[in-house]
Amino acid sequence: MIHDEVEELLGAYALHATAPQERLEIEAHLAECPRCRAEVEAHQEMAAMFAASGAEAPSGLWEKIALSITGDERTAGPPPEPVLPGSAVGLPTVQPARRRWRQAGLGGVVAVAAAVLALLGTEVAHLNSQVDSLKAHESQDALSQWLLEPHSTVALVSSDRSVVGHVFLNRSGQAVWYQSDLNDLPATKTYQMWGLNRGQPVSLGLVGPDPHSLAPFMLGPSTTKVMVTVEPAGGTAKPTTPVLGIGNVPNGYVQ
Amino acid sequence: MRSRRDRSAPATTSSAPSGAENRTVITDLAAASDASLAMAVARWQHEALAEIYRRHAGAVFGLAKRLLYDGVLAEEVTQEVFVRLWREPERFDPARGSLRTFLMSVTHGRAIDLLRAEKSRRAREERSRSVAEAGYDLEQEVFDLATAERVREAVSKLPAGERTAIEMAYFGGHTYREVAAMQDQPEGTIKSRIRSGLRRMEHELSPVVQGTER
Repeated sequence: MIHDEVEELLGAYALHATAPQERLEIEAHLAECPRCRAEVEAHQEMAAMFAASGAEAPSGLWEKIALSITGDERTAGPPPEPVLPGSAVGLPTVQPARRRWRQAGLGGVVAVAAAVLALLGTEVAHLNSQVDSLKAHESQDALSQWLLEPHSTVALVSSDRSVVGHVFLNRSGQAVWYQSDLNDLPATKTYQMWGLNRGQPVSLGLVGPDPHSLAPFMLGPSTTKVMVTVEPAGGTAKPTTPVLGIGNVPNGYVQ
Repeated sequence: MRSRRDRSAPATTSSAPSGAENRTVITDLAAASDASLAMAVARWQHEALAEIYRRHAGAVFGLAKRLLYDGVLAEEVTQEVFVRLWREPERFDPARGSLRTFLMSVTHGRAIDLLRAEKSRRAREERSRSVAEAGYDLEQEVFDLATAERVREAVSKLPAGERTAIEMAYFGGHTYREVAAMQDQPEGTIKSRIRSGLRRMEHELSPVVQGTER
């Protein structure tokens, strides 16, 4: 793509309105052309002004972020107050011990992550076996490790387009089901995860009757969708009830 | 790209702005510039990220929700944006724009990625239908920026074609090709309209844009 062609696309590029291939070509050009870089920066500055600044982030979101970057829920502190026009809101005090933990604790983080991955690895050989429900705090710890590492999030969406749960997965195919608005089931039933491989549903594992469990499982490169159904306790070979939620695995993400 | 371990070392790069606050922990966070806070994040100062969140999380979440029409996904995008800033602070270069612009651009890009993923195809179709009925309104979107009045004025001066192309691309998440097809216009026309509309607004608002830097 020559300079003039790139130049014509700079506005669309700044608004993320180009095709992926064009984007790559433009970025290659930007790396070498300060003039086009300056134009893109000006467009991005302009676009940022379109975004409203007065919205308020949901309560509890800061805690999730603090948890995911440190794994130390006790010292994450209360959420920062939103900035209001003309206000000068003080920040919560963060305990001095928190920094020491973080700086000294990376080895611990890696160790815990390794333990989580080991747990996930164990499940490879038992895709159709019952996945034990983890206790809530264990789930939080394990989740925090997931969010520290590169991952993709797949939202499982119902037929009425409401989100029933999420699957976090990494490029190795290790995945966890987490956080759901579904109801608890009687002990005679279980939530069962399915992958769609070349159009055929394949059991990924059982969540159990509590949809809030952090259920680990594995996806293969050929899995294109993830689904959840309700099945008899113990699970079934094929789905026997309507799909409650389905989400697409990003194409080529799992390797 | 620096590793996490590198970040524990004092900032010594020549590109880093000079000044005492770049070498020491920032204590007066509320008075610190966004760029200084971003540098403090690179040195693991958790409180600096909290201050950046306090300043910008509302705008990040608001934009994600505006684009995705889904509070849960918007929360995920917001979380991802701030965790990514924590993990890869070097991606923000103060020489290339404000932190707010960087965060908004990352948010917009991530939300657009989600919108374009196949999983959102049906939702997009539904959204397109409702948009066809309700329409976008760039003037209304910019509702509470300190400079909102100037931005509204600049938007109102845009030729209708430029304004529509920008609205459909930025808030609709459509590529310029999709906008061209929807508007039944040549692709080259839409590319030009987006670019010329942005340039027109930049010219109109250049004093305001410069004034928003912290």
